Amino acid sequence: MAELNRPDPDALLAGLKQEEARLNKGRLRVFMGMCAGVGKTYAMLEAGAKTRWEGMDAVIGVVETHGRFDTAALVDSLPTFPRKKVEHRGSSITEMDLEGLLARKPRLVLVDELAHTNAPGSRHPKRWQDVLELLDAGIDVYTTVNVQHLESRKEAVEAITGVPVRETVPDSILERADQVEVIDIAPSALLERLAEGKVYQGDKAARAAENFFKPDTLTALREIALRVTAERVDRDLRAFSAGRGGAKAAWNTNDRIMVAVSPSPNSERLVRTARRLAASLQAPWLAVHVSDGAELGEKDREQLRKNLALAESLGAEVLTTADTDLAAALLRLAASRDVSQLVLGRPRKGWLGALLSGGSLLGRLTREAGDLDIHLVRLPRRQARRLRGLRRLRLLASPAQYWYTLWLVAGMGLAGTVAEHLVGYRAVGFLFLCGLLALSLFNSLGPVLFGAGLSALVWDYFFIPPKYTFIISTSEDVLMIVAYFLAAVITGLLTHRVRNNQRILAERERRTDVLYRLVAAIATGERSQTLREVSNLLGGALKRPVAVFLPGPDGALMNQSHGPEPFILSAKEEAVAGWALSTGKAAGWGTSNLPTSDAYFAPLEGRHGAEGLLALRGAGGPPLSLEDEALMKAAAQQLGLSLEHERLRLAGREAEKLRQSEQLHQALLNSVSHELRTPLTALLGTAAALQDDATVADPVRRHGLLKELGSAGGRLNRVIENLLDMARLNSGVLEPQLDWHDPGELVRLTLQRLAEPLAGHPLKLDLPAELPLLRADFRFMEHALSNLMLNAAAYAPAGTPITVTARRVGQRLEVSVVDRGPGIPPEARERVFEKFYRLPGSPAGGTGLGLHITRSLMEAQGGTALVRSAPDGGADFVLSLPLSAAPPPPVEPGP
Amino acid sequence: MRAAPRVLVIDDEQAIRRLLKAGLEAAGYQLLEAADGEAGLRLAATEAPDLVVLDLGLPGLGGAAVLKRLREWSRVPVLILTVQDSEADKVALLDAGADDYLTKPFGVPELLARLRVLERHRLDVQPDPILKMGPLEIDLAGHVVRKAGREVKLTATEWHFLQVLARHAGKVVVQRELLKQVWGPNAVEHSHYLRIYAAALRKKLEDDPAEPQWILTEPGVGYRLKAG
Repeated sequence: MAELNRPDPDALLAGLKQEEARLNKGRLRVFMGMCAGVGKTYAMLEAGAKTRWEGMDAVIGVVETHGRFDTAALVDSLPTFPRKKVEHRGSSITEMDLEGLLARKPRLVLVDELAHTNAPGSRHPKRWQDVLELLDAGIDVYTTVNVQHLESRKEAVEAITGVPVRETVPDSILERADQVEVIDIAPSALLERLAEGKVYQGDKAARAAENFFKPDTLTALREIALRVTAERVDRDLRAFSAGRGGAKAAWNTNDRIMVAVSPSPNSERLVRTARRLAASLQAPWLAVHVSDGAELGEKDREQLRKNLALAESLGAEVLTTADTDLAAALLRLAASRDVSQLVLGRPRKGWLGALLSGGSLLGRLTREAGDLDIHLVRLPRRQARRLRGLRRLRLLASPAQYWYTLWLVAGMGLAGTVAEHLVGYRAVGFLFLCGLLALSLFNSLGPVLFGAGLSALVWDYFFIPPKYTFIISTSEDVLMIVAYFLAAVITGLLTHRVRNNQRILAERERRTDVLYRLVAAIATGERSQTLREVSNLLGGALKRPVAVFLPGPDGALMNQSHGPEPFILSAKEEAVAGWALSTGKAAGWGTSNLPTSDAYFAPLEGRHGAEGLLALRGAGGPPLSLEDEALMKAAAQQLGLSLEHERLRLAGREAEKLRQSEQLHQALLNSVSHELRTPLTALLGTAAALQDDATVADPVRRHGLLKELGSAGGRLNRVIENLLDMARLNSGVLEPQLDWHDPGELVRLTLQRLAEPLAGHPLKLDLPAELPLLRADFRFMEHALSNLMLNAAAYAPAGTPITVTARRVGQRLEVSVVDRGPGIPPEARERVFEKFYRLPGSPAGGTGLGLHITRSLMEAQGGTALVRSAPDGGADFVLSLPLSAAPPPPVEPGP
Repeated sequence: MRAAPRVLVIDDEQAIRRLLKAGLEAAGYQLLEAADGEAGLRLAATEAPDLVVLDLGLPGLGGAAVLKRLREWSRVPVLILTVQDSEADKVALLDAGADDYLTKPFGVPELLARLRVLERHRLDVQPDPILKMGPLEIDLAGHVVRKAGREVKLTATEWHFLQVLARHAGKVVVQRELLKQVWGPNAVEHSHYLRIYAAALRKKLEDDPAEPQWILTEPGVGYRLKAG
């Protein structure tokens, strides 16, 4: 049992790592109170002043004294960092100067009112985001917050006080805090202070007392504040017992919670419920939205975004998908993400809706859910819902569609008057039904329902006796018209659903297609082209200008877009882009970071930070749909990984190049010691010998020595040529100059230059006169062939013949050099062409470069070099080049 | 005719200058030496040499620049010394007015042969209408070529080809120049014409067409009719 109580080493290690990560980040201390006036700011200033006395570089970022004298006195004891002026609609507001503070980099910044909303045009909409950035920059922060501003407590506080809370901070910021201090004061004492005017002055105090500062309210708020702290203490304790330090080391249950989020404001409540459930179970949770394909109105879209952003800020993973079958989509997501508990609002669909969508959501979920727990959350009824429904119908169709429907019904009415004489008034109903069916094929739900109602009325009024009244005389006709109306409506609804499904399918297909093409574009091709292609595809899919920006070698953003059209950044956008690149967070238009920018920047996330930015010019158009946003993020992620991969690969290649060049250096040194010195020794020795008068006088010896001089010089020259060519090949500056050459002449000219080193071997040439012309670089060919000839001369025993053959083999020309040497063993026939490879047992000297150069020279001309075994055991080296189309014969001018 | 033709050697390498001095003075030339381009140009202006040997790889004012400045006012024959690097560079130099080139490392006899050809071209403003080399006799005025006394029938193009080479006998004729003169300015890229016609001429004129003695290929640069 003792085993079990011992701390888990992994948890300990995780704790240590977290500690380490924290060392690089600033520490956050939060002073929390139940409401205004408890003395949070005072406590914060006091703590700040204390650190100042201890010699720490503490400054006030922003503090509101609200005219309280004791607070103002404390403020004077600390340096205040000047606020920055923000112009907004003519008036100027002062805000905390985040940029200035980041540049100044004090050790500690005091930031009052964490929940404050920044003036438009600031870097972040909320002050708590400023604080996070300060922390990320390694600056400690002391801050104050009231419990009602905590996202998860907002509702509870609203219920108690009846005052809506507008400004909130995510709970995660409390989790980030290293220390949370509750500034507690008894409600009676607080009320006393309020009465003395220490909290608010004048009539503001009276108003506050009416709304907020009632003893029972304060008691309830105090309880909430204390409970928040208690929960934190409880969690710290648990974290401590799990190891030490780290707060949320690992989820300790197998639970995973999923909450279904809709565009309704009620969903906020659902999200908070799910978050509480997740927190109490210490389980991860996700928030999902299933779109039914219907286009959302401006307001709904905004609300949905808010709901999902709330979930994200509360720590949920957010997913969106599209499906007309809500139940199926939820179950699919639950299964794929191992969800154990599902949180839903109580469905509000009526029996008709349930019938049309294949059974009530709840019924289907409970039937098909398997071992999924379902939590139903009661939601307050809201009248606005209905109105929204109507607006949705209107949104689905343009006024023109209603107008056409009106004319269609009128037309059917006219046709009906003609047909009535032939088939009777009841059959006219079927005529109307046919028209309506046709209508539902091309129109959306609204006009179809409108047409159904209108045509029923027209039928009744003009055709069903008694005519020109809405009265129906027979019960059969009543049945007829009710059946007609129902059939028309149901047809309309069903067609609408089918078409909606199709639209979703088509949309999803389009997205999948775009994504597929994106991935394909990313996977292949040269980089700048890939980037252009991706920008192009995304820009097409999102119908907005899109471009990719990459950082330059110094890490700063290069002012160069990779897109189909130039994407020019303003100075402001450039700053936003720079921020996004350095922090690796999305920024700009539509985000909570610097949202006043016209462009949106998504980081191309690799595993080690942003590899670049995907930029989208958004301002002026509607906000991106959730799906579009997901597409953009997916593209950014794919691209980021691929860019990172490429960067790492290039770095690897660079390292390999370096290694090879080191090897080359080594080989050069080796060959300097042998290849260069041998002929040099011969030269110097011979020159010395020639200074001897007796030697010079003897014509035979003199002649021999002079010949030796020449041969040593030639050998030195060849070594130098090889090394030079190797260096050129390595640096990539060797470009073949292709020209037409006669292969036989080429071989002969080469051999002429080698007459002296090849003197020990009889040459056999097989060079047919009628070989086709060869398109090659003469010097490349000469060098390649020389290397082969010299090898043959070096490895084959003296006196054995070397055969040089040129012949046409299919569409290639082959020049082969056959010797009678030991040959190359089959397993080494590829390796001999590798750089620095030398066959074991090779004679001393040689750099192991000759054959490598030979092959490289041939490959540069589009050919190759290889070796096979000669019939009588020696090596048969072959230079092979493709033959180009035969050149047209020159036109013989007239005689 | 002056007794000793004067050669101006412009080369920054003392070793090369020493080698040339030894070789050329032994062959009866008088030597002027310059270690850099400026000095070379000065000497060329003040001394009016009969021939110039110019190293391409000069420090400061490069060989190509020296050649360009020299050609602005002088037609003195220039032989370029170059390391075997790029044929394109050699062609560019010949186009820029150099008369011939020699690749380092070279032998002194080769250098002397080239200088002899240049000298002859300098002196013979009107070249001898009948060129004789070994068994070959090219009569430029009579449009006839004879081998060992017997006339060899050439097509019009073959004759034209040979004529261009013969007019510059001993000197290299750049590929493009040959193509332009024989086939016109549109043919300058069709180097394969030259291969075909050179082969045809060798077949008719050389003893062993595979090992030509007279119609020589300068790989990547052009052709040279060996002076007799």
